[in-house]
Formats: sequence, C-alpha cells, structure tokens
Amino acid sequence: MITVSGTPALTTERLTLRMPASRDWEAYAEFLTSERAAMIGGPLGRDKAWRSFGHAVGHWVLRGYGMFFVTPRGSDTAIGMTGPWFPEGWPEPELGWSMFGGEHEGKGLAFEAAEVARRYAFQKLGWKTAVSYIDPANLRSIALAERLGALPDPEAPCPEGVSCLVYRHASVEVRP
Amino acid sequence: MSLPFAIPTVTTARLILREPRESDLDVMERAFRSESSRYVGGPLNRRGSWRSLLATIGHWALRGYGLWSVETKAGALVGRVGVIRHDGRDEPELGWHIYEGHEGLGYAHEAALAARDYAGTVWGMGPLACIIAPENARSIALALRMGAQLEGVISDEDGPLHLYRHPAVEDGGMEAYA
Repeated sequence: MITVSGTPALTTERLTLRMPASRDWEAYAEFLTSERAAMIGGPLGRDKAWRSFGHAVGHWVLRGYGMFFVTPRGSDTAIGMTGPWFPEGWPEPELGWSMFGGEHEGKGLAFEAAEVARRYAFQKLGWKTAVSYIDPANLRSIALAERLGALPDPEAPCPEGVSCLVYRHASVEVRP
Repeated sequence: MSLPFAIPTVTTARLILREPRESDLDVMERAFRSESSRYVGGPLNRRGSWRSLLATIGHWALRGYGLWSVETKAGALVGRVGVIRHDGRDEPELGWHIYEGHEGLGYAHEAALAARDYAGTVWGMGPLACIIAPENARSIALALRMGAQLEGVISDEDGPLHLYRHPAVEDGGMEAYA
C-alpha cells in the first residue's frame, strides 16, 4: 500500500479532518450504498462506490487537496466528509460536505467540519470564492449552507446534466 | 373617499406603513413592469398592477390583515410589506417587495420587522412563515437576517418554494403602537 505523505490534518473542538485512507472504505461504502446517498447521485452498488472512493483519494493526488474525511476526536472512524472539490466537469471549485449517517446529524458537526474546511480553502489554497452544489430537495444541506453564510447564486451554472441549487460562499477575510 | 374599514398605520424610524391608495398606482406600475417583480407575481402591465392594487385592498377587507404600502417620511412610495394568505395556502405569511431603485437601503428589513412585530403583538400571529423562491438570494438573506430558518418545501404551480419560519415575536413590543 502506498501512503501519501504531507497532506494536512485539521482539527476543531470535536473533530479531526484528514485525507481518506483505505481503512475508511467500509464506512464510505455503507454511506454510498444507502438511501442517504440519494442527494449526491446514489445509492450506488459497492462496485461503483469503490470507484467513487478511488476518486476521493485520487483527487488529493491530482489536485493536492480534496474531501477531508471527518472523524470524532479520539476515534478514527469516518463519520462524514467535507472539503474543497474540483473534479473535471465542475464549472468552478466547490466546497462539498456529506454526513455518512443520520446519527451524527443535529449536533452541528457538519457545520463545524465544513467551516474549518472552508477556511482551509480560502486561507491555505487561496480560493477567492467557492460554491456548493446542492440537490434542491436536500433541505438539511441548504440549511447548512445558509448557516455558513452562503446564499443562492442563480447566475452560476450547475455541473452538466445535474439539477441543483448553487450556493455561493463569500470569501472569508484572511487574518494574519 | 375613504375605505369603509380601517387599515392601521405603523411608523418606524424612517418609514410609514399605511393603507394602499389609488394614487400608488403609477409607482406600482413602474415597479411591476420590471423583471425584478418576478418573485411577487410580476411582471405586470398597468391593468395587472391595477388589479394587484385592488386585490391588496380586497385582502384587507376579506382577512382583516394584508399588505401595507411603504412610504418614506419624505413621502416616496418604496414598496409593500405585510401579512398575506392567498387562496390555497395553509397559513398567513410575511411578505415584502421593495421597489427597484429603493433596494439596498435597509427598507425591507425595517418594514418587515415592523410588520412582523405588529402582526405578533396586535393580531397575535406567529411564528410567521415566509414563502421564498429557492434562488431568490436577496429575500433569503433578509429572512435569515430576521432570524427565520428554512423549514420545508411547498410546491406551487410555478415550482418548489421554500418555507422559512420566523421566530415568535416576544412580548413587550406593544408600546410602539400605543
């Protein structure tokens, strides 16, 4: 197994965010094969979920950044992912997020993770703006975007063939 | 000729919320000809604006509450704000429309806060809903600024609309209208 070194880890009060690793596969597969994945193009079979997992890992290698997998501090089990995401076909760089299981919702964990991931994109990657592509039926995700201060940008296109709402994040002021 | 029923007047720091008048029509017509009226039933021609004016007065007559015309203290008509419940809706909603050329001055926020307070304290309404098109960023920003939160989706003949829920108005605001 090859290990990618030098990738960042972010910490918040309750969470650690890091690059996905092979030990995250089962948690990811369980999420992507469940109904919860309906909002991001799923559910998928395990074979397609494997390709998606490879994409999440490969995005880091090709772009130097990607979805951070989110674990509770003191545990190494991934409960979700969030991060800067810019695959081929995306009109512009995105801040994405997904919580793998419903049991982790309603505690502000997704907000906590997405906020620190966004700060990383703006401060370390130098992004000036970011969008989030959200399924119009995904109210929980829309509410999170709004809690993060993002607002709809009706002028911005969705990825081709996708029906979505585009939420735009204003750049966070960089503090020295 | 005056109306056969009373529409209250509400005053804020900069604005007066008062009954709709026939003399509002010219300004309404300009506002409703613009594409920017798409979230409030427009664009409309003059006849459409006339009907909208009549409907606004009719809503007050039918329901006892409705949309005020919003005027600056200098007498400029800048929009409409109030509480409406159209046919087919389960509950009243707080609505606002600040006309083109008067946006970005905080009038919507000031007027909508006053309308929400009035509805809560005088009519006992609340927590009020707001029905907003999912891509109407300006109205969503105002709803969030007022403390409203996304609660659900309703479908309309024009497509899905988001329902935001305002916080309940706390007691103690009555002295503003005494």
